[in-house]
Amino acid sequence: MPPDRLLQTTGRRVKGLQIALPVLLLAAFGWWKAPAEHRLLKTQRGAGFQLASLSADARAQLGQSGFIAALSGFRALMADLLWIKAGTSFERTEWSRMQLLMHTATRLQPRAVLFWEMAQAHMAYDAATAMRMDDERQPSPALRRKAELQFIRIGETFLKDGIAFNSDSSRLWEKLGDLYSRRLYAHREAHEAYLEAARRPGAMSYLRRFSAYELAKIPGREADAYNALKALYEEGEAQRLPTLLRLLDMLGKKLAVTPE
Amino acid sequence: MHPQPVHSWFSARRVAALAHNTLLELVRLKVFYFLLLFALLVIGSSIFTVNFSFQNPLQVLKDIGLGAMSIFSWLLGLLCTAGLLPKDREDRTLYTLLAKPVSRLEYLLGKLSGVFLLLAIAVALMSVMFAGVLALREQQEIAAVMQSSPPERLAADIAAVRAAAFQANLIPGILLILLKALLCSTLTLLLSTLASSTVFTLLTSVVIYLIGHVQGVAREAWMSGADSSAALRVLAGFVALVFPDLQLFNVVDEIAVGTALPASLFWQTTGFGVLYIAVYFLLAQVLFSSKEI
Repeated sequence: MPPDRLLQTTGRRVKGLQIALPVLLLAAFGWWKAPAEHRLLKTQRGAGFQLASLSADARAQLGQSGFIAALSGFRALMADLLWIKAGTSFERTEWSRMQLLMHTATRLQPRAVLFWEMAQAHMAYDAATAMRMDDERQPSPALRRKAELQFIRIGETFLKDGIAFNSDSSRLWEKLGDLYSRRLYAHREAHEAYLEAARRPGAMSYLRRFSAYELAKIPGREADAYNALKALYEEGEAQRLPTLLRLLDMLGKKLAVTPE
Repeated sequence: MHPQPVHSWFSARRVAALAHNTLLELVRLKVFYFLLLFALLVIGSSIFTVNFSFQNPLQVLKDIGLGAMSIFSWLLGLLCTAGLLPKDREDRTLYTLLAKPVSRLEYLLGKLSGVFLLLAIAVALMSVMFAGVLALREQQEIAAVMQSSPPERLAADIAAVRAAAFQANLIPGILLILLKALLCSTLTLLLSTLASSTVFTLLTSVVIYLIGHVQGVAREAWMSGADSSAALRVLAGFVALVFPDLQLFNVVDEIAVGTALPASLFWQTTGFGVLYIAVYFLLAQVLFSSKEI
């Protein structure tokens, strides 16, 4: 082969190699990195990160630019904006719109316990009470009660979803216990929720008492309730509060326990 | 007769000199003016959130500050890096430098290190400003709580305000914001070794930034082999293999609401970021070394 031809061919090969090398490097790195990224994402999710979801609902409520902003570093801020919008709906008593906005805000920032807690309070207490009281729009008491119950259940769903994202939150379990006890009068569920709340880190000291109080309200569980209250009583002065003493006395009489 | 000094193929001192000069050039371009914008945004939102009753004002302020830090650091890195090579080519500095015993690797590394230094300084300054504004608001909130809270709830309410203000646990999250900006700058440098126009580099970088934030969705679709057309699978695979997952570095939003970032997870994420930077820099170097200047 003549030298100039050889030089040309070699030059072309070198050029080809110079293009192929970065492409090969990128592909090789890609084959390695994609599963590694997936593993890291799983680890992050396990630690409570990257749980937010940007659904079609979020896109509809945020708009195109808001959605892009949420994608590129302003997710928490977009959740705040939706929350503030929900505040405006609250002032106008637009409960269904408020529910939608809160739903999206909680999904954008699922680790914000305060969002879940406030969302359930607005639904299960404010909106539900408004439904019960609104005899102008709905004259039938039965239908008003039905609407009230629907909003209480929405509040319950917010709490359960919040717990799914924040299983370590004593606060959300406590609020679930409150909702069962005060809104649905479901004392067995309330007892279990308070018990779960008491098991979580940073739990308030009254939660075990609340759990025992709810147990005392379940028909057929009087003996268990008495034992639970007795155990708390024996812990010392801090637990010997009027409600505990009253229930202990009442259950003791009911079960015909001889006072020590 | 003195022996001829041996010229090493790589010198950290030459790289440091180039990095120092790049930093000086960028500072002379008054890029730090954008910090004024950041300060205005944070201070402005601090005043704006005073009247919030439906949401914790400190939380909103924190979200605005951290979001702005993320966007500003990326933008700063993007604008500074995209102009590096074209500017040096335009004012002929590139030819003068490469005619000296400076390798292309040293040149590229020096330039990128200069941008990295600038970004580190900018993020540090933004963090100080952000912490300062939060501290001021924290004091205002505590004063308000002391006036309005009943005595039995005072300690708990003050603790809640303090927890919503600047905490040391935000620092790893801010470091990951910086790492993301450094990674995006390296990608921009890689693009500018390929491109001949700054506008192309800027636009492509913005597109890559957006794709990087949804790369996880494409990767999951590709890896799960979900039912979709062959064309979609190929597209998802391409996105998953070629683009970095920038969402992995967005952990500060969760930290801001109290989620603890374990040290091992922080180092894993940091290691990933450093590896991305190394690979994209290596690619930039391969392309730059074969480029006819």
